[in-house]
This record gives sequence, structure tokens and C-alpha cells, in this order.
Amino acid sequence: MSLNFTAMKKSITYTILIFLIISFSHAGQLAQDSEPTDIYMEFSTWKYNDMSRSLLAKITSDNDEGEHFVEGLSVQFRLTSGEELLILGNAVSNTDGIAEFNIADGTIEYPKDEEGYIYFTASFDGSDAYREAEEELMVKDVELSITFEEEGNDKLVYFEGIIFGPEEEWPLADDDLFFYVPRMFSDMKIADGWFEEDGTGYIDFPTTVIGDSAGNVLVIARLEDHYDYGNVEVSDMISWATPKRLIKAEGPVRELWTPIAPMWMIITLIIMLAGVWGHYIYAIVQLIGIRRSKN
Amino acid sequence: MESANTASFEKLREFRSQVERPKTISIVWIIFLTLLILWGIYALIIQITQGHIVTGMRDNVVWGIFIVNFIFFMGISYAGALISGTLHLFRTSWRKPVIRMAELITIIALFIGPLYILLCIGRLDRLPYLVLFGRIQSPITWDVIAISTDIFGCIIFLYLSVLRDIAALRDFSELKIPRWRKKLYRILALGYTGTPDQQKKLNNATDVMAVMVIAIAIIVYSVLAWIFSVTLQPGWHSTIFGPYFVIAAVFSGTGVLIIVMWVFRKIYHLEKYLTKKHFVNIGVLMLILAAFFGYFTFSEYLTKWYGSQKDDENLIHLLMDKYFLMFILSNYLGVLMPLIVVGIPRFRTINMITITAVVVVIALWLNRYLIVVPTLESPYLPIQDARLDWISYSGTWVEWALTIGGVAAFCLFFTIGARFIPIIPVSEEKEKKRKEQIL
Repeated sequence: MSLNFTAMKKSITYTILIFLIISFSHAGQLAQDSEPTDIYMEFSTWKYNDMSRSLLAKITSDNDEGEHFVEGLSVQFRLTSGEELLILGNAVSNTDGIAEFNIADGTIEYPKDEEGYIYFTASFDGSDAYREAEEELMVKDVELSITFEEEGNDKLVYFEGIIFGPEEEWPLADDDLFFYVPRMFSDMKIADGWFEEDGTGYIDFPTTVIGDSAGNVLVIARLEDHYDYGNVEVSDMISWATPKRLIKAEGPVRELWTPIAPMWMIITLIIMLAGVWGHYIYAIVQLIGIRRSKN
Repeated sequence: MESANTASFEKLREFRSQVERPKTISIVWIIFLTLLILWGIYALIIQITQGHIVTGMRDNVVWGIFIVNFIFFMGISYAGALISGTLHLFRTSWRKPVIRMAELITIIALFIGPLYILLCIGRLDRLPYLVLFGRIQSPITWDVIAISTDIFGCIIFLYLSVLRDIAALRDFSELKIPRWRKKLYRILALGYTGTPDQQKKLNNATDVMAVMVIAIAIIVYSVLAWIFSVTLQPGWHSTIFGPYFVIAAVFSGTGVLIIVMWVFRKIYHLEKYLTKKHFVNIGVLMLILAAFFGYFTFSEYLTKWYGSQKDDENLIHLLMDKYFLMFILSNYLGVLMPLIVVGIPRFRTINMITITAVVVVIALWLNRYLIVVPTLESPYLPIQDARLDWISYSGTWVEWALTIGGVAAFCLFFTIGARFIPIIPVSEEKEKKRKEQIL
């Protein structure tokens, strides 16, 4: 009996040992599995009408199912000037993996190098789940402006681009400027403009653009993902578009939406209900007759 | 008069155990059914307090098992009305043992079915708006008008059909029942004694109402089908849905009727009244309806498949993939089994016909499920970024508890109904003379 008990104790001890060994080996494997994941950062900047600027860092990562956005990572945005670093602030990535930091006009004096470049840096310091990442961006400070002028029957949009250097400014020359109007799902391109040597240019406003009921439409001029200027956008409202008029659909309307039911339906219903309930009343009258004729 | 009453009393003596004090087994059965209903009520309380989130219904699939149950119960109700009305109108010689059961099925299912609509509604407090601000051009309004008209008509028809038996129960002094029941029989009998004038009035009213319940059953179930077919959804927008639903309803109703006949035959030993002939006759009706149902189903899916419209193809793919087993059971087994069992004389036994009826009832419930759910799972305009568990539907325990509660309520009301009125009509009528009158 005691021998059996000893054997049982031994077997329990061995079982626990085996379990522990397997657990530790598995834990090691788990530790390997939980290595931080690589992330990829796309860094861009947008400058708007009011001279404000947005810095956007889009963070993605790869897993078995492919590329996906990484949400909830805190990204630090900095300005670099020679050896000096100016921390602008932090932003957390949203569900689309974008961390956005906005700089209002006049809050910062941007340090520029001799050619007029401003140096921005976006960095993530890393966490248990994701490795650190950093991206740098250099853009020139550009200001765009648009004006609308009618010359005879022509409707022209004039535009001008100025590059601000460290000390001086010079015209934005020999480059494209794209024009858009907002539509329901995305912006629709209406024209391509070209900056002349003096930094100005113009486009003909197309006659086919539809605006609101008064013909107002927002015209957007945009430098897109430019290697020197990033994204720069300026917009203004003008009443040159064709006014939008709702055209009533021709043909029958679904009856459910009509204010009252069609006459044929009302008449049919009344006839049917009168026929059926008339017979019910006849049956009830017969029952009343039975009740009255009781002995 | 006297001889008729004597004959009625003779029969009542046979059925007195059914209407007098219930047996222990009967009480146990009633308690069991009550417990199932209480479970359903508990699920209902959970649904009311926590909202429809406890069901499987979401933005994409807004209808589920509840609406399937509604269509199913309404179907068997109309089937009961059609069968009882037709049998009565044509004075079918073997109708008597069957007709009362068909009438009870009609009334009970008609009260249970619409309850499932109420379970679908998230804001019950807005229910009066349906009447207050009802729009005649809305199919939902048609349905409300049709169902309420049908309930009223079926109550009158049932009452007319049982009036003679109630009068016989009132006059049968040997019956040992509580005083309140005797009083109730006296009130409900309306002083009917079977005078020629009373008989004439009763027969006229019953004949008129028999025609009415047939007509209303067809119209009301067509209206129910039109709720689907006037909706622009893949699989619903069909011109044959009206007759298809009517055929499916009567088909399922014959199945339920056969099951009820088998149960009462066993419980009350009605072998003398419910013979093989009755099962075979209703079975043949089931066979004919199976053939029609199969034809309509084939026609419905063939035209959709051959049309090759993208959304119809998506729906058919869904039916042939995710719902393959249900589709086979509903549209193949449910059709072929009655054809084989009733069609081949060797298999035509009472038990085999009843087993077939069970399969038919399950198949027809699944048929309604396949009409409702897969269509809602493949809409013309999918909701953007909808979660996967919102697109696919599966019933929760709350919905199943309420479904079982409804079936239990059906059985309970049938049990109680059979205690109140003999399940086989006992009063005698001068058939020959009536036939001559009709002709």
C-alpha cells in the first residue's frame, strides 16, 4: 500500500515537472511571438488658406492579413534647425493610422536654411508592441493666392505663388497647379494651371460645373504632394457655376409616398370590406334571430 | 328533434371524459406547456428590458425567426379555414371528425401568429400610430385590416359551427362539470333548441360564413405575401408570391391537421371516428399541395437563376452554399416525401402519413426562413462598413424561447379548447335534406 502511495507521489511529481518544462518552453515561444512589430510611417504636410499648417504621420503595419492601420500610437513632431531641435508637440494616431498635428498661423517662426527649406521630423519612440520609427520632411514655405476676373464672356481664375526664403521671397515658377471643385464623394479636377516665370498664371473656368442653387461653388487650387512644397491649398467661393435645379423625376412615383391612396385603391378596399362585413352582419343577424326565437 | 338530441347525447356519453374533469396526465401536460410558456414570457421580459439587442436581428437583417413564426402560424390558420370551409360547403361525407380540429387550428393559430409581429416591433408604444396615422397605400395597413377582418370572421364561423354542440352540452344533464361551465354553455347556446326556423337560420349563416372564410383566407394570405413581393428585395419581388404563399399555407396546414388528428386519435381513442380513410384523404390533399408547392418553388427559382441578375445570383449562391441543407430539406424532402409516401399505396399507413406530415411542417417552416433571412442577408444596397455579425443572422435563445413558448401556447389552447367542446362534432344534422337544400 505504502509502495503504491510512493509510486503515486513520484508520478505526480514527474507530471508536474513535465508540465512545468512544457509551460516554460511554451512561454519562451510566446516571448518570441510577442516581439515588437515593425511599423511604416508616411510623413506629409498640408498648408491651407489661413496659413495654418498640418503635419500628418500615417502609420501602417504588416501582419498575416496584409497591411493595416495602427491606431493609438503617440507621435512626436519636431522642427530641426541645424543642430537644434524644437519639439512642436505630440499627436495620437486615429483609426486610419493618422496622427495629425496642427500649427496655427503666427504661432511659430519657422527656421529655414539658405534655400528656404523647413525641416520637420515625426517620430515614434517604440513600445512593447511596435518598434520605433522616424521620418523627416523638408519643404519650402509657399503662399498661394487666387482671384476671379471676368473678361468679356470669359471667366478666368488668376493665381500666384510666392516662396518665402530665410530673408527674401521669390516667385514660384515653372510648375503645375491643379484646380478642383468639391463633389459628393471627392474633389473633381476642373483644370490644370501652369506657373509662369513671374509666379503667376490663369485658367479658364469651365462652364459645365454645377454649383448650389445660387450657382456658388468652392474653387480649390492645390499643389499636390510636391517634392519641394508638400501639399499647399487655397480656396475661395465664386458664383460662376451653373445653378443646381432639382428636376422632378418623370414617370410614376411609388404609391407609398403619395399623400393619399389612389382612388382605385380606396374604392376597391371599400367594396371588399363592405362585402365581407356585410356577410358578417348577415351571420350575426341570423344569430340574433336564433336568440329571439328561443322557446 | 328528439331523435337528433338522443343521438347527440349518445355521442356525448362517449366524449364526456374529454370534456369533464381532466386526467392526471392531462394536468401534467398542461403544467409542462405552462412552464414552456413561462420560459417564453421570461425571454420576453429580457427582450423588453434590454431591448432587441438580445435578439439576432440587426440593421441588415431586421426580420428573423419571429416573422417566420408569424407567417407559419398565419399559414396554418388560413389552411384550417380553407379546409374547414371547403369541407363544410361541399358537405363532404367524411368531414365530421376532421372539421372541428381544422376550425380550432384556425382560431388558435390566428391568435398566436400576430403576437410575433408585436415581438418584432422595437417601439410598442408607437403601435397605436398604425391605426391613428395608417396609410391605406401601405401593405402593412392592408395586413392589419385583413388580419382583424379574418379574426372576426373565423370567430363567427367557429361559433356557428359549434353552436349545436354547445346546445347539446347545455341539455346533457349527465355531464359532470362545474356550474360556471354549465352557465357558460347556456349563455353561448343562445337558446338554440333546433326548431326548424333556428336550423334554417343557423345553416344559412354557416353556409355564408363558410364561403367568406375561404375567400378571406385566400385574400389575407395573399396580402401577407404582397408585403414581401411589393418590396424591392432579391427573392421577394415576385408576381407569383400570392398564390405561392397560399399553396404553402394550405400545404403546411394539412401537415398540422394530420399531426393533430394522430395525437387526438391516440389520446382519446378515436379510432372509430378517425379512420385510415381520413388520413389518406387529407394525405392525398397534402400530396396534391406538395406537387403544386414544388411546381411554384421550381418556377420561382428557375426564373431567378436563368435571369442571371447579379443580386438574384448572389441570393441563389447563398441558398446553395450557406443554407444548402435547409434548402434541400425544405424544397426537396418536403416535396418528395408526401409524393412518395402518399403516392405509393404500400407506404400509405397512418403512421407513415403522420411522419410525412411532421417533415412537411418542418420543411415549410424552413421554407419561410429561407424566404425571409437569406434575402435580408443579401440586400441590393449593403450598409457600408457593417459588421459581419450584423450581416449574417442567427436566432438567439430569446427568439427560440419565444418560438417554443408560441408552440406551447398553441398546444395549450388546443388542449383547453378540446376540453370545452368535443373534438368530434356530436350534434346530428339531417344531411340528406341539407344537401338537397343546397343543390
